[in-house]
Amino acid sequence: MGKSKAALKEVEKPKMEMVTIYIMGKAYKVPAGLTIMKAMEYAGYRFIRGAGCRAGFCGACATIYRFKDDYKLYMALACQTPVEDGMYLTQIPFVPANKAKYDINKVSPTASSIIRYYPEITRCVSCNTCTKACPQELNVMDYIQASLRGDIETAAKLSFDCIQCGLCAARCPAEIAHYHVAQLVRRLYAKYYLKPSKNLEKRLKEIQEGKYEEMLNKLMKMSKEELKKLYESREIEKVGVSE
Amino acid sequence: MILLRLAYFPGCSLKSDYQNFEKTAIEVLRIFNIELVELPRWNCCGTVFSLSSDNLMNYLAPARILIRAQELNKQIGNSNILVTLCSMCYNTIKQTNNVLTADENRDKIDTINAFMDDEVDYEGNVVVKHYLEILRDYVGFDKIAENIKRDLSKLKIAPYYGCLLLRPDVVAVDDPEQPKILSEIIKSVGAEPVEFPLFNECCGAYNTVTNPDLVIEKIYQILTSAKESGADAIITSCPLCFFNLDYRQKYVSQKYSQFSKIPILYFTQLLAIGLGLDISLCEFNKHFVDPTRLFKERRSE
Repeated sequence: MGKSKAALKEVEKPKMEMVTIYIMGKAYKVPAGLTIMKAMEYAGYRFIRGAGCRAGFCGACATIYRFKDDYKLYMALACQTPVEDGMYLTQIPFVPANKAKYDINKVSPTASSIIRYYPEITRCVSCNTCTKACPQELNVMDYIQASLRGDIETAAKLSFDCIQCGLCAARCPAEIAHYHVAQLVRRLYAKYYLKPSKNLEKRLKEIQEGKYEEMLNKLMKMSKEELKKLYESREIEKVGVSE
Repeated sequence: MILLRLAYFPGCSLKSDYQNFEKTAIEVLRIFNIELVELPRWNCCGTVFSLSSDNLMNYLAPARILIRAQELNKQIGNSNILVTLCSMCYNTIKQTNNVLTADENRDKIDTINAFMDDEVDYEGNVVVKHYLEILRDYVGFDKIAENIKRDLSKLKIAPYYGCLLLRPDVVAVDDPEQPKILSEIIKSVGAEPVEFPLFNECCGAYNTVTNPDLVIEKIYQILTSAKESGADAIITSCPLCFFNLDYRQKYVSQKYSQFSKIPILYFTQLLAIGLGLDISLCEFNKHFVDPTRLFKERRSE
């Protein structure tokens, strides 16, 4: 990206540096510097599922890969990770993992209630495979262990950046659904440890009182062109400036 | 002024249901200028020591704890000790440490270190000690006796060891057949130790989940034996024994109508009371059989 336009013009056809990647075992030559996701699209794959925000937040594009002669199994988000020469890739767009049903208002913030909904966590042998699998580099095992002893604050904080890609659950020999446990502990943390946000209460009251009904109805009646215009002229909060 | 800082592993029970065990333990040692420094990161000890010596996966949890202790001790710098309080954690971590430090297990240790390529290697230098050993070897029973603030001389206390402090003998905190350490604690606070035949009988342990009837029977025998020896209360160092001895009395009384309840204490609660700490630290409201009245009655006599 550092090259100026002038520098590029000097060369008639800039020569692209290519790397070889293997998608489900088949070799493709793709331009270096592309993300795994873009490289797969370059190779002709079209994402219908397994791609979402393309910005590293939605967790839909979990990928596992290996290099020849390297015993390590690597995990990444396809939209965030540049291709490297010799990557053997496969996508894990979805991980089956049971999600407990509960009414958060009826769950007490204790180890025993977490274990009631996710009893598998007691099978953890501390192998740490989950932590090694996490593309967000979270200490997954540590938050499961904290949940196991009812340390909800630690578990919630350690799991805060979880994007629920599910790679931890796919790798776990104890068949734990880590990311669902994490969601439960964060809900408990919000309910029992954090002060309710005054702004949220205020906003909820405004919504209930119908403050935004008129504006919403106006939006609903707009044509696509009008909406487009409105969107493009929207106010964008300046970076680094907050109220 | 803190004179000694020791790496300390609490375990899950002490952070969830039995915080009173931990709180009293920490405060008691503080009186003698010893600070327990909790491992900055830790996991469950693995709960039960694995007897299948070729399934190395079961050693990972305690091995990680030993590595955390090794690294914390490098920072603290005054010992290579790891203190544990729960009998179960003590037993599991200590037995694993024995496996991981035995020369004949070199290949197993290498395998474990290679698997845990996310950790530094375990160097095999950590010494696992139970809190009771710290009291005996680093505080001394005389020193405890000198600092007693409450008169507990009319209390008769039965020492209950259960299995995990004494078996197998290679990890026993005391003579496995004739242990004295809990009796010494009772003596040091000025109470009268009442030794009873079932001091090292298993409480039924995890059968409490799948076979509570068996546990109720065991608890009835153990408690009856202690009471027949004249005990007013029983002390233990194991959260699982505590649960069975204390809470299971609810069912013992249902099965045996003539049974009268007896309070169960962690030995650290007895020490905390004797050493003049605030009784609220003991959180007796969390006990099924509340020992509060026992202390009030005795003190006003």
